[in-house]
Amino acid sequence: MADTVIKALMLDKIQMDGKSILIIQHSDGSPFLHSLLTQSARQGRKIVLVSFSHSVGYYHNVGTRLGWNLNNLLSKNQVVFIGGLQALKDSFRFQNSSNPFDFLFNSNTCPLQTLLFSIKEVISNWGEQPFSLVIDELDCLFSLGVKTSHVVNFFQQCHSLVQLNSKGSLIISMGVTSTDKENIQCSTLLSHWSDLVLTEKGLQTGKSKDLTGSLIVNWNISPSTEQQFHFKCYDRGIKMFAPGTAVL
Amino acid sequence: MAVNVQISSFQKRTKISTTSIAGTKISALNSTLNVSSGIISLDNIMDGGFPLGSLCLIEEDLFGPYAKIMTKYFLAEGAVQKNHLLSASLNENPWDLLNNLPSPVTEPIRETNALIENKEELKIAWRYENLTLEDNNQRTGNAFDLSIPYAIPETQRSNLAVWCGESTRNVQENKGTLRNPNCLSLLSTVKEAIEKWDLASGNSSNLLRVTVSSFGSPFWKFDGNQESVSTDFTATLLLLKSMMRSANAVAVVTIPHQLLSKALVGRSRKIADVVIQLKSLREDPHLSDLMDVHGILEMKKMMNLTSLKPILGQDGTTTYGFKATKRKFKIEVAHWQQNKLHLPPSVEDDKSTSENSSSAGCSSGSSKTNLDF
Repeated sequence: MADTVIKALMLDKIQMDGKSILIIQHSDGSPFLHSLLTQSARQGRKIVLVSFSHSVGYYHNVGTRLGWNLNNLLSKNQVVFIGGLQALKDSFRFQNSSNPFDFLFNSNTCPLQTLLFSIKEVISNWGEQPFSLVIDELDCLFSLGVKTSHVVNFFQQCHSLVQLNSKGSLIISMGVTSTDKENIQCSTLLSHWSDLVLTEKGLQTGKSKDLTGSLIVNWNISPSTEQQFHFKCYDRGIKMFAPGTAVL
Repeated sequence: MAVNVQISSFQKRTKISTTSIAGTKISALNSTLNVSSGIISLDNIMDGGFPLGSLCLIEEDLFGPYAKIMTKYFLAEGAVQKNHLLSASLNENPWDLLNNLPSPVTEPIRETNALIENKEELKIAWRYENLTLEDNNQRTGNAFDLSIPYAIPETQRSNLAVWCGESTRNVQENKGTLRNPNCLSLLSTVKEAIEKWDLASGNSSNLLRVTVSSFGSPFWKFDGNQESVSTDFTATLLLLKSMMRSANAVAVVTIPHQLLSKALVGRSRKIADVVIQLKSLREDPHLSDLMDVHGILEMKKMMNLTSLKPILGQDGTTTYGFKATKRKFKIEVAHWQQNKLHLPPSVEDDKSTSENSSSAGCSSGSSKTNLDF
């Protein structure tokens, strides 16, 4: 069932190497990020997974429902996990300067530098192999006290990493709420630089039995189109519908 | 001479013994361990309670009395189950909270003989003749009485800990982005409690219940003004979540959301795993038509930690009415009809008026029957 997302977005036919995908989430959970992760895992690409507010266990659990085993891939070094709740906790306990969250406790002019260096190190070790750099919930950095300018710089660095190495693709997700100006500004800015923007929202009129939400797909490269889908999340995947056909 | 020869490679699989943790129930939906919240009807909505390792946010009603009642129930359930408790508060003395917990009420045993009336001989299923019908819907849980304070036995006193804002001498002047001394002190207290009771090793059979009352009130000295959103607030919530996730612990944080900026509340909702919003009737003049309830409880978020499927909103309901009396905290499904809130007629027997009534209203607009002309 996880394939339906990929087929609907036509990502099985379009090569995403050297390109970037931005997912803007208005609701919780990140079903599309997980689907894209599943696709990268199935294609055998190396993955760098950067997370700020979830643990490895969460990605593993959702991944097993979608059909791939994260722990297995971690042990084979196909996937490298950076950050996560464990690192956050360790940054409080140990105050180690190689921890990406150490900027919370020790002064640092460039808070995301450690994180960026660890990502670069992992990618340079892989050389010419195809990889995906997946960053989940970039807006958590605002919650941790990082300024917008640093976050945008970080994004630009990641973007250039992926463009230099033409076999890499960048997938970033950002959660926004309508009352948070900083988040909205940042996500609008990033959406101009990304090649594919997926905006995921709940339904305007409230919750429904048949649907979880609606997805708007914007391609910034040719053909520049905009499409809308409705989707419903199941235990084992997501089903995508054209608007209005969910009840059929 | 008898030789023990192993003929086949068949080995009987012995049941792997998992240490069961006091006060938790395995959820049928997604096999996480859920910690009871102390309120039976809330547990029914949440499929057993708060997931173990989660951070739960309660957005307080105006002035916070019902939120305080909910934290008391949560701690009281922990006291009954002999869990470790950590109460943190700057608004009041946390020992007051711990010494005035409601005591459990043992309900009278109800007779279950009225379920089968059929005493005739069973002709086909005669093997089942002598068995009694079990009521599978009976949920076990504790009811609490707020008027009688629970005297925690002396042996359990060592399970309690508090934090009341004293600045510990170990906390140095912090140079990073997280500067608020209250937050740092709270986080170190939580960390020490987890280490002291050895809850992060995976071998413990007990859990820690942490409650933080009125996090974000002016006592906490967050210096964010309305323009800039306070990042110490959200950073502390994230760090607290990371500590809960890696230990047998659950944290319930109540926030006075009317005092905080909307952006900050939005961010905290993104961080927390479970968000419950309470609204008492005084706040909203439209709701004063309701005679029966004391307020509205909305489940704003319930994060599924093991799969993509959303737990809430399966039938379109996330708004419930609650009624808090001295002996019961009852939560019922609310009907929305033409801007007026209707509740199912209250019946003597409160066990049957919980969530069985359907609530298809105008907010869930895709039910097929609405299109019948």
